[in-house]
Order: sequence, then structure tokens, then C-alpha cells
Amino acid sequence: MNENLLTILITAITVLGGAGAWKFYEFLIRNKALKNKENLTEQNIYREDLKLRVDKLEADKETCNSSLLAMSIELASIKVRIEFVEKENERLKYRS
Amino acid sequence: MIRNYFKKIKETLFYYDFQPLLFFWVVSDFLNNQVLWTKFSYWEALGQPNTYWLYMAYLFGSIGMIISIHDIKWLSRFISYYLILYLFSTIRYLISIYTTLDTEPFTIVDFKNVSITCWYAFMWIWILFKLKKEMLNTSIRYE
Repeated sequence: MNENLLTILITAITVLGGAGAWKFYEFLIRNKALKNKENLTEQNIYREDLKLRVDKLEADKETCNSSLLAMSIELASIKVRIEFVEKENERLKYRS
Repeated sequence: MIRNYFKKIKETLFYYDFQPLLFFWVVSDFLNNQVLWTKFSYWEALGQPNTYWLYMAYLFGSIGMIISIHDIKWLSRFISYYLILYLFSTIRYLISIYTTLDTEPFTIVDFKNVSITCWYAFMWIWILFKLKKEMLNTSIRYE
């Protein structure tokens, strides 16, 4: 075979092989980037879910605090009443 | 427009990583090009008229790289063009060594020349790979 023709043929094969190798590498890198992006999306979804749950728990905490405060007031008032009743009872005992 | 172009070239040479090194290399390559220092008749007399045109093709690639050093897309195109030429020359050289093995034995000088040629080919492949990778990463980032 003519030397020049052989050179052109080998160069063409080398260039095409190189281009193919690059395309394959590009495909791998793009695939990897896509997977990373999907993972990131999944992580973001999980994070959003956690945020919603924390918001709900915070709201529940506020309700619980309000009822706890109401119960404390009620308890204090009952305590005062009991003390009054006990004192009244003692006083009635001494009278009789 | 011209002013903006030279500003971009200056910024590339000042702030980029390997473009300045490539610039110095290509300028040296351009200055070493035989088209600047010899005439076609010289190569014709040597019986290698095609070598003159090969050098001319290299000159075109070198000039292309120098003027597009700031534009990664065009720079990679010119490097690809230069690399194809370089691979062509390297393969031609290797084939000529292989076909003349019977008449001219493979000497240490041939070994040195082959090693240097292959090393330069590897260098151009590496530069092109770096540029293409940078372009790929940029395109992925903005997708």
C-alpha cells in the first residue's frame, strides 16, 4: 500500500478512535452529573419534608403551651380555694 | 471591538492557568516554523515539496491558536486541527522508520526522535483533553 495512503488511513482511524473515546468519556461524565443532580433532588425533597414536620411540631408546641398555661391558672385557682376551705374548716372546728 | 478583543487576550494571559503557557509555546512554535525562514524552492530541491505545505498547515494552526487564545471553543478547534496534523506527521515518521528498517537500522537517534515526537503528541492530546473537559464541565454546570 502507498505510504501516504497508509498514513492517512492510520491517522483517520486514530482520530476517529480518539473522538469515540471522548464521546464515551463525555457520556460517562454527563451520566454521573445527572445522577448527582437526582441525588441532590432526592435530598432536597427529604429536607423539605423534614421542614414541614418541624413546622407542624412547632405549631403543636404552641397549642400545648397555651393549654398548659390554662391548666396552670386553673390549678392555682383550685389551690387557693382548697386553702380557703381548709382554713374555714379549721375555724369551724374551733367554734364547735 | 478591536480594543475589546485585545483586552480579552490580555485578561486571558494574566488570569488564566494554562493558556499563557500555551501562548508562549505556540509563539515559539510559530517562530520555529520553516515557512518563515525557508522558501518552497529549498524543499523542492531537497525532494520534499510536501513538507513545505505541511509546515504551512502547521503555521495556519499556530496562528489560529494565537488569535483565539481567549476563546476556548475556537482554541479547542485549532488545537484539534493541529493535533490531527501532528498525529499525521508522527504516524508518517513511524511508518517511514518501519518501512526502511531493512536498509537503515533503528539507531539511538531514531529512538530519541520517536520518543520526543510521541511525547509532543501526548502533550497536544493532554492540552486538548483539558480544554474539552473544561468546556464539558461548564456546559454541565449551566444545564
